[in-house]
Amino acid sequence: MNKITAFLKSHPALYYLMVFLLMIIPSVLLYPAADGESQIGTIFFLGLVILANLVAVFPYNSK
Amino acid sequence: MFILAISPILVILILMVGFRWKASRAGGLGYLAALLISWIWFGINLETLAYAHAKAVFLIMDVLLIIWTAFLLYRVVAEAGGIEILSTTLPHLTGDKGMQALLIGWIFASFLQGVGGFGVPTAVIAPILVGLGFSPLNAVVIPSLGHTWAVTFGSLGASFNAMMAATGLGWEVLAPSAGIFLGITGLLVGIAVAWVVGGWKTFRKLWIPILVIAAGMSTAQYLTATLGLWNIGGLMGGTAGLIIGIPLAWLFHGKNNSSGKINWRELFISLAGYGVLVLLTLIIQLVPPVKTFLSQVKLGFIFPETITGSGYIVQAGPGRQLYIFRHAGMILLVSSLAAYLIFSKAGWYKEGALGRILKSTGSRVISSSVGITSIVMMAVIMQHAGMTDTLARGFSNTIGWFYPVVAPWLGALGAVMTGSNANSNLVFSALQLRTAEILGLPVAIILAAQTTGGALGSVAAPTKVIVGASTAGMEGKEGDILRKLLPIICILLLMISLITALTVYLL
Repeated sequence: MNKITAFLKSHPALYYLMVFLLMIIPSVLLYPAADGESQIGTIFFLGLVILANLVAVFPYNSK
Repeated sequence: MFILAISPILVILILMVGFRWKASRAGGLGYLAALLISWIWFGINLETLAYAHAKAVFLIMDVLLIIWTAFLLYRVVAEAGGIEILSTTLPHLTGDKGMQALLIGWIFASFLQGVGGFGVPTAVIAPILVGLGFSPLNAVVIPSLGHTWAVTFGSLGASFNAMMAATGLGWEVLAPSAGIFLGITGLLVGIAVAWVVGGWKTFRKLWIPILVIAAGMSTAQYLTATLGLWNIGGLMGGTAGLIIGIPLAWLFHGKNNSSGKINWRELFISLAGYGVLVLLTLIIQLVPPVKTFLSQVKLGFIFPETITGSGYIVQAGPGRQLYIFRHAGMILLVSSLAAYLIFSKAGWYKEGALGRILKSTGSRVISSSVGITSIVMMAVIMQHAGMTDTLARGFSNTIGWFYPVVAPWLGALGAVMTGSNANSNLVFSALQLRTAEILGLPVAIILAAQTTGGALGSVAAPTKVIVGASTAGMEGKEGDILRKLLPIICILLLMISLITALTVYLL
């Protein structure tokens, strides 16, 4: 985990790519979750999108 | 409720302008604010939130595909030295300071906006003008003003596409009015550029080329956009400007003309990538069998009707559909590949060029992609919760008949706060559309005022001013640039307000 964190901190583009994908992929999956009336699935994927936006709020720190 | 509804927008505005947060950070907090307010006060439910997010993804991808590939094409050409060739060739055409400013700071800046955008025109042109003897302040202000009119249809139509995505309206509805408003702005910024160089004396000397160039560029952009080729509207406007401006520069060449240095073959090859882009766009848009064949694959969902706890309904229907093989992003990607092959064949690349192109493209676009994603999600949540509708009703009740005068300023405010015309269109277009509908105003005119205001405001965005200042050696003097730029932008905005009001109430 520490290695992954260190790697992302030294590669800002990859860091932002991870945040971007964490916003986009669960958002797409929210459609089948809502369509299948899966409350747990909807809450889970929505939680991931919220998490991604929370991560985006904090400044990127390369140190 | 109005204050609550406007809060997410205010959060972004305050954080970006007051605290100088990047769009990627401020957008995240704006999203969270919209989510919280829509849930607690507007009664949005889980199902509506889920569909709103899924709908937002297609809007986001529609916008980002163009931004990513437009910058990729720009980098493919720049890495080969194509932009440098253009930059070094144009100053040789004329020794007249006013004509140099028009040719480089207005026409070439518009061309660069057409093909690249993202602050590139000022970043490329400011050092050239400094090298030609312009003061660093004027070297930043001239291209900043010069490219404004090409912002909406520039960047391969990214800002215009953002407006279509946010409103759900097609180019047939939006392009004619936007083309006219931006065309008028083109003439106004041409006059402003001449005025910055040498006051009214320069304008009186160069009013004929200004009129001819403005007419040529605006007409080319208008015709291209209204034929459905909106993604190359800015590019064609800038190209028309170069075609008309180069012979005019010879006529108004001043004393130090050294045109013998121009290598026309190099100039032609450097433009090859954009030539491929124009050709592909024309084939796809104007040859029906090709368009039909490429339209077979589309991505999108059919969304059911949603209703919030407070009774706000969003009708069922398809969201934004992505015709992936005829999408402007795909055309740009193929053009980038073709341009790369042409430059490779011509031996214009140094070792490791491909890696540098991909790395610089990725690092430049991915941070802003996060910001755009959060802002679009915020805007779609606001729409589905009825927050946008609440704002529109508030504006229509308080401002009423005066709204056409305010519309361009709202667009400009959005651009200043978010740093781009595209972001302004994403945040405010739906609001402007709904307010116009409630007030019974012509939607296309109000949205033309929105995007023209956004285009003008975008050059005064702190991020762009910082980029311009750093390339002209004016770091730390951003305030000086804003003091010179803002009054001119405000005068131009006042004129657009006046034109909007006259168009709405007299025509």
